Amino acid sequence: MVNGDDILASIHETLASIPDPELPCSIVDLGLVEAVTMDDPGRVEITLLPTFTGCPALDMIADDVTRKVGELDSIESCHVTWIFDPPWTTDRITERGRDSLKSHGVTVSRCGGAPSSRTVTLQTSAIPCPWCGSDRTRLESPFGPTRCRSIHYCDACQNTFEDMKRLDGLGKTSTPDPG
Amino acid sequence: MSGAANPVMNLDPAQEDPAKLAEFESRIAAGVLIEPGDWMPQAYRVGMLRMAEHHANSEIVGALPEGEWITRAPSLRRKLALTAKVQDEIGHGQMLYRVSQDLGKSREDMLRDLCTGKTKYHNCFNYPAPTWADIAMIQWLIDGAAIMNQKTLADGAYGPYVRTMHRINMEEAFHFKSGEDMVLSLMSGTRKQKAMAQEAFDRWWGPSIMFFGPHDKPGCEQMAPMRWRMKVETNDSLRRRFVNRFAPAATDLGLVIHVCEKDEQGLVTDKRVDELCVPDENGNWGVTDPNWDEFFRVIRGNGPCNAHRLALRRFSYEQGGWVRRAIAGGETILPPAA
Repeated sequence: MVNGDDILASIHETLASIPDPELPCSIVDLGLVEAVTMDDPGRVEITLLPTFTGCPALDMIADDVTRKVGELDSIESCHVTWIFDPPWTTDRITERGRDSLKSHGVTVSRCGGAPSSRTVTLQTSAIPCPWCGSDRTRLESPFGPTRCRSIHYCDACQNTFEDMKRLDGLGKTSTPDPG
Repeated sequence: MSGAANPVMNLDPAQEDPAKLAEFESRIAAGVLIEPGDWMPQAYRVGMLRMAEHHANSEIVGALPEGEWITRAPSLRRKLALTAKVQDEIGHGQMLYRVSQDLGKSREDMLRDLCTGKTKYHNCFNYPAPTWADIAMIQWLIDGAAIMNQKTLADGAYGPYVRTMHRINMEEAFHFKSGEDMVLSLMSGTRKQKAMAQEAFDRWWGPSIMFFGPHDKPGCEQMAPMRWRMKVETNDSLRRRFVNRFAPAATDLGLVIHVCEKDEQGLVTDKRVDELCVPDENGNWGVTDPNWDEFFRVIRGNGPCNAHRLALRRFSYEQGGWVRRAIAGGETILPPAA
């Protein structure tokens, strides 16, 4: 009899090996995996969040998850559900995901978050270039090659890069405690 | 912005500073990427510009036949995927125009030259897409051919182009998978759907074989485009790999590979089974050589859809004129078509 925790661990490992079809980043690092539950032994329910609801890759991602998790030993069935609450935000992308996207030329901007002190630091709103680190960058087009990305250009190294469109948590995540 | 063309158009590498040229070539041989600010022979700059501009034009014009099918997609799921693909191609075009701009031609000039027919785009987009199955075939065969070519280009030497190509290729691979799914749906459908897929395949197989360009000249590996890694693999080698990948895949799906005669509209008037398209003992598939007279006739502007595609591009360019004037302030007037 295989331990339930071991099964869950192997499911997580499998999910971490499934890339987004258009990015060198796993669906776990992209923050798409919201929950993995197994109420009955061998029957797993996986809940995913879409980045953009109009993303054309959702079917392919769900198929990959169903197939690869379904192939694991001691899994009888795998069912994937897309949910929209909580909404996906760029804050959900892990550090590893950010590093991997950056080396591909795709940046993930930080959301503002709560001020940590009374000191206000003025800083440029330009996104640092993922290739050379320069702040001399500008928006080239708000419409990138995918719905979730805009195109930017670096005046210093003359390369384009893309930025994941910043989506905040609609007050549901990373909101400072009002107290 | 480096918009001004270099006044000295010295395209003969023998006229370049020999020491600089030797250093440039040794950097390329060592696998070092060439950056926009680096010294490069004028023939390299012009060649890379032509290539990136042609690629950008192809992305923009390639989206035109697909854009015309968004309203006619057979399901919401397919419609969503097609709108995303069109946005995708236009985004690729934007990034490639930016690479071209930094090689010395303004975006305005590039958009104008595309509309007037002075510069070209990929020849395959001068063929018609009269049914949904044509959209499936474009996404399967043409995107499949494009990935095969662009994967080699991502191994080239010009930094900004190579970096852009890596991102583009991941997205093209996604299109290709969707295209495969579209063809599979049709081929597992009704008799009518299968017939529609076969007819579209007949229209697109020829342009796919021609996609890689004419046969190579002898010794092309030693010539500048390949020595400077603007091109990494020969046309004929890419074509062989394409046929070896797609001829068996098409056959497995139940499609028949034909040699076709076409009329002026690009529609098939006569066809026979391509008897050469079978594997030899090493697993290499043969293919009947396409009609290269047709290829050159279409490139010169006399293909089935050249006028239609350019008119649509021009219409869209003129429609957007007020936006450019509002942002840039100046008048942007399009010269008459060449």
